[in-house]
Amino acid sequence: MARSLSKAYERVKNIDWEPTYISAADKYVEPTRFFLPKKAVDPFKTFIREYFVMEREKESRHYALLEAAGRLQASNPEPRWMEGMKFALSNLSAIEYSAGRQMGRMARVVAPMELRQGYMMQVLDEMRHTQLEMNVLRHHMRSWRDPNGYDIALKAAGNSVGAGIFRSLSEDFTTCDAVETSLGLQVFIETAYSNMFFVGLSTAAVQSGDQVMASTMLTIQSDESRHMANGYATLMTLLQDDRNIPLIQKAFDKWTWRGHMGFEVGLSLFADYFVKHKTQSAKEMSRQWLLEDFYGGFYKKLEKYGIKEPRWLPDVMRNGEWASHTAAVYLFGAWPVFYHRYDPIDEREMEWFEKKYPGWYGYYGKFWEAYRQMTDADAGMLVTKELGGLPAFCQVCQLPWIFPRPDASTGCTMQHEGRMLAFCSPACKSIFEDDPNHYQGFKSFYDLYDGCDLADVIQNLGYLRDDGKTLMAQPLLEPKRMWTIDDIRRCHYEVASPLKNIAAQAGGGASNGGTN
Amino acid sequence: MSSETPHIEERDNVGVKLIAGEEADAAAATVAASYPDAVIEHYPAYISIEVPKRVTFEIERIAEQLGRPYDMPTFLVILSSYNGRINVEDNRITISSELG
Repeated sequence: MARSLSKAYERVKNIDWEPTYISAADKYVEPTRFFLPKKAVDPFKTFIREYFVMEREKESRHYALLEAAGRLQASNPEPRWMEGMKFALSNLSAIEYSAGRQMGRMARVVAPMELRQGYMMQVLDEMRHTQLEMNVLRHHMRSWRDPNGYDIALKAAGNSVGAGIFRSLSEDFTTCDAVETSLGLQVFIETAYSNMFFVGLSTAAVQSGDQVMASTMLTIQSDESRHMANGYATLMTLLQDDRNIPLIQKAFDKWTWRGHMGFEVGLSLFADYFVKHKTQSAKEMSRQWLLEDFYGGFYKKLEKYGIKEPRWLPDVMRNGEWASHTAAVYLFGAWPVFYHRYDPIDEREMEWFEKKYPGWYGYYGKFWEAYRQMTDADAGMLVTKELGGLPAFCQVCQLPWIFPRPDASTGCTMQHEGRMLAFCSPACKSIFEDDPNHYQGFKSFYDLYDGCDLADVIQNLGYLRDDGKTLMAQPLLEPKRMWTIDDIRRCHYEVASPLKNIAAQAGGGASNGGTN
Repeated sequence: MSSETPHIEERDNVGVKLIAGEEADAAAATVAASYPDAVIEHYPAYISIEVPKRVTFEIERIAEQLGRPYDMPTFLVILSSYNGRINVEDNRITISSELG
């Protein structure tokens, strides 16, 4: 390289100025409760000219593959993976887009220019990721044998009950203190979890015959490298002022749990249940990427600055033992309100689960036996209805209150301003109590559909094929007859919030949640 | 629940995940030559390199290994991820386990 990147970077930093025509408070628009020194720690030094050279090269390499894959159509990808991608990609592209908005907000609120520079490039990265994922959606829609579900993926990110999990996470990032966004998003999601997802699952993508997604994951993660450095630089900048320590601790306590429920649970579900050729279990992935690399290789070292183990980490560990399986009970049980074909696990996989998670069959075997018996449209039995109906959803994380296991739920309720609210755990309840205004307005599935027939819910969601009758979701990859909206209507399943009964029984007091 | 909270041990390994290909192979070769303790693993789409405490990637050495010119922006294209604290300079990247 002819000229020094580092020297140029230092020169550009000196060009920063404070305007005289506007006050600091007006300029930064939103206040932050954190204390920001004038001089910040440099993140990954990237100068805009090199940034574009680098990103152009990334795009050339990746889109060459996408173009070839569109031309050759040679692979025969694994149906389980390709159907699961309908749900995964629809949510992922929405998360990335909202991360771009969050970076713009952080760049506006956080004063030190070293950090602003990093955040601004991250805005561009997040837009790039949204486009990469939308291009995979487009490619899969054109190449996969059943495009239904891919075609409504972006709409579904807005209205699916499952997407509520990711929306609640993204909206929390978008509306919490902008410095807290950096700690939660860049330190927890991007440093702790993005490796586990984008690198860890790239192997599964290749083994499932989805090279386009494998390439997408790794080229995205190459930007995440800078995002991790943004989070680290923000954290080290904040640690220069001792007044920030309790504020950082509080944010870490919260995002340890929010990151786990909002991101890791979905990721674990994907790793254990959407990957047919299994190698590493979600629990093993979590141990490697999260416990060893993140907590052991990074978080533990923060102790010397006075940062303690996150308050909810023991709960994360306990929940993580069974989270993927419990999430699968929800996703498979509620199949008609999703938009992909389900490929239920087979005998070989059940043995694998029992080996990787001793005791699995005792807790989950009955559900899978019931599921298998209720896939025939002519028999007209819905597994969700027969097992007691959909559960209540947590007001904070929007997951059902059946975690860690349906038979041992930590779910609880609370009266708040005349409403009975459900929580998946004491952790989410505590997060709510700290900042109720932040979470009380989230409309849950029951706020929208309580008392409706399930068939009307599905029609309202728009998850029907072009004939206006056949469901997008099917409980098997190739059912002998596809389920229609009339089959659902014949089941006479009225959506009913479990909270109404609890409110009546308890007379408004707090109670334990139970499973259904 | 069945398990106790695992004890978290502090780790001092650092490492990278490089998108598989000839550039990653060349980078891995330079590390293998300089760090006898390095653990290099090949996965279907990436190469994992782990080294105790500290590792440096010299762009010029990767260029020598490749037998053609090479630069930092291109190396960053294949640097999918890392663990440790990173410092990017004009012609080298260092990843170390220490904070600050």
